[in-house]
Amino acid sequence: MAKTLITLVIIALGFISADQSIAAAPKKQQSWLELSIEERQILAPLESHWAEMTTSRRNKWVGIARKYKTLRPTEQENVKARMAEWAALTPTDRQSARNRFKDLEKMPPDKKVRLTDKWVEYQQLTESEREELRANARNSRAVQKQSLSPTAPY
Amino acid sequence: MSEDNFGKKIRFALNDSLELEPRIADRLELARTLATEAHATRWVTTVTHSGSSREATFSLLHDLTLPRLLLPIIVLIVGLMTIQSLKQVQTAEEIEEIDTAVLTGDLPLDAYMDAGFDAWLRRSSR
Repeated sequence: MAKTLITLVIIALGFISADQSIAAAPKKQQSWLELSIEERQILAPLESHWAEMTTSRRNKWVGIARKYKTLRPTEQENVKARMAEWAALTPTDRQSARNRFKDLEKMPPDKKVRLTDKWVEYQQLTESEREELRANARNSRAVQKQSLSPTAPY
Repeated sequence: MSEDNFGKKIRFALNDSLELEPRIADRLELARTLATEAHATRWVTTVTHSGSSREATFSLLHDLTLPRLLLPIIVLIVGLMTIQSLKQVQTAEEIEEIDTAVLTGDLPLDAYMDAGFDAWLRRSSR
């Protein structure tokens, strides 16, 4: 019986270590100098941010650098131009931007293709109009949060 | 007639009428002795076990229950860890995909960070 128990524990430990090694494999922390020359060239705008980045963020950027070659020239330019600004945002801001991206992705295709034009139109609004829209968005988000809160009265 | 008396009568009747060769009688005696010894040994072992019955019971329960309890717990832990790892990988992949799309797309970053733009789009699409 004791032998069975030991065997079970060994099997379990084997599974656990295998599981951790699967999870640990992509989690390897790469220092800036450990990147390939090509990756460093692509990610050059991030060099000053690299040391303070978490492992998962570094892995994400390495993943983006690997995709870089497959992008069109205009997309490559966009990545280079936006990289530093994106990395400098707070995690909360980045998450909000991702959520907005997901919302916009849900739009019907005919409206989605006109988004750039819409952005130009939006830019033509006065600052006070845009500020009013932002305030409305903040209020509706606060109301949404309150209604989702478990302590909210029903 | 009691059972004991009846048994004795049968025994005497059998003994009186039974005439065995000495060789067979010796073999039977030997077999009886061996059987009695074997029975006595088993009984002593049982008594020894029951003497420390609490320990024996605990040991038996311990031997039987622990692996039975541990196996599902181990399976559960391994399962949860696997799900957690897969979820982390999936989330990381999703974030990488979205970030790539945001960085490469036609819309500037400001468009995704300006809550007013989203509100304006909703209003103008009504």
